Amino acid sequence: MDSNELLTGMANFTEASLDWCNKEAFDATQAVFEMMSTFSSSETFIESIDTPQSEHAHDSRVKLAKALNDIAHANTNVQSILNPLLSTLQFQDAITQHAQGLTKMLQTWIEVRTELIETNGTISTLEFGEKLAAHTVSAEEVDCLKAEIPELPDSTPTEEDDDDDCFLF
Amino acid sequence: MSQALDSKGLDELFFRIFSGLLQNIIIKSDDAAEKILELSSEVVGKDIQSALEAFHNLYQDDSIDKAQNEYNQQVDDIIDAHQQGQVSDAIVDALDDSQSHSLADLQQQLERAINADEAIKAKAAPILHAIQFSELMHRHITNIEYAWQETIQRIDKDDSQTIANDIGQSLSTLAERQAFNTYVLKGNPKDISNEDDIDNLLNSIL
Repeated sequence: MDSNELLTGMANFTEASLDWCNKEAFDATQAVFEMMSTFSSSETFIESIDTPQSEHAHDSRVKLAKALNDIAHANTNVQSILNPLLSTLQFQDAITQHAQGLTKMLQTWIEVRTELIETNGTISTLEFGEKLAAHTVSAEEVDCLKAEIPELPDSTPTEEDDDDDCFLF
Repeated sequence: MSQALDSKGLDELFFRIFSGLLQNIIIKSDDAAEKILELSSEVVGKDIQSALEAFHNLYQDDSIDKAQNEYNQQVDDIIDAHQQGQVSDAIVDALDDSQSHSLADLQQQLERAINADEAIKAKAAPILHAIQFSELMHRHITNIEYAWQETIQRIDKDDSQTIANDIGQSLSTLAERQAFNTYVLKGNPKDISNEDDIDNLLNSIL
């Protein structure tokens, strides 16, 4: 095994491990939601729960979050139940998005690293940061990059950030 | 002002960023577990809620890891002594499991409370699963972080196969060991004794 094989294998292992986390997050969230569905007579909520959801379906989670928000606004005394549910849904959505971004960043790093070794060259922190930032899906991730590369431009709201509004009461 | 990075500088910078992003996932996981625990107070009685909180706290303050580490050390010591002919087979067979009593007691407490009523069982099981999921997520993320730390620190110094073997030995769950065998060692999963924690613990309780 040479070093490139190790790095590529490690990247694939990381992707598989994060996929496992993603699947477990989906299963855990789904189990809690199914249990909670017995407490709600809202047709919107029941329909949302029953809608088949892919582990990677950001859109279906956004739809479900919007349904929960509608229920909460119509009936404020269920917020204590719906707020934790929204948090778990948000968590499941975040881990899916972050896992995808992390995997792409790993690939980018390996590509840049290989090129630097082959050419005995260098890359500026800003250029490398911009390559990584291309794979971010949230302002939070960009902030994480900026903590190490302050010269990166400030994050701008993404489509996903706009969607996050539906996760908040 | 932007700095010029060679491959070593690139590795170090990337690991810091990667590590920060992984920590973000852990923080979100903890937050989700806390929220689900809040949710449980709406659907289960006070006794179950107290037991679930105690169970969650046990994970939060690393009591399980400490107990497991102490127990494993104790087992290693006794096996070493046995190999040197200093203790009998009977002693090895009767390893003192006192270090894991706190966890066992809590499991029994939960078992009694949850099995008392099928309706409670249906409500508590998903919440318990979610709490344990958070702990397992911690472990997976921590292991990923450790694996990359080892890789980056050693890749220019040590043999790649040796690094891979060492990392493989450090992994603790069935899922990650299978993935590591498939993608890094490219062999068949073998001798996996530490099975998936969630399933084992749930099966022991429910």
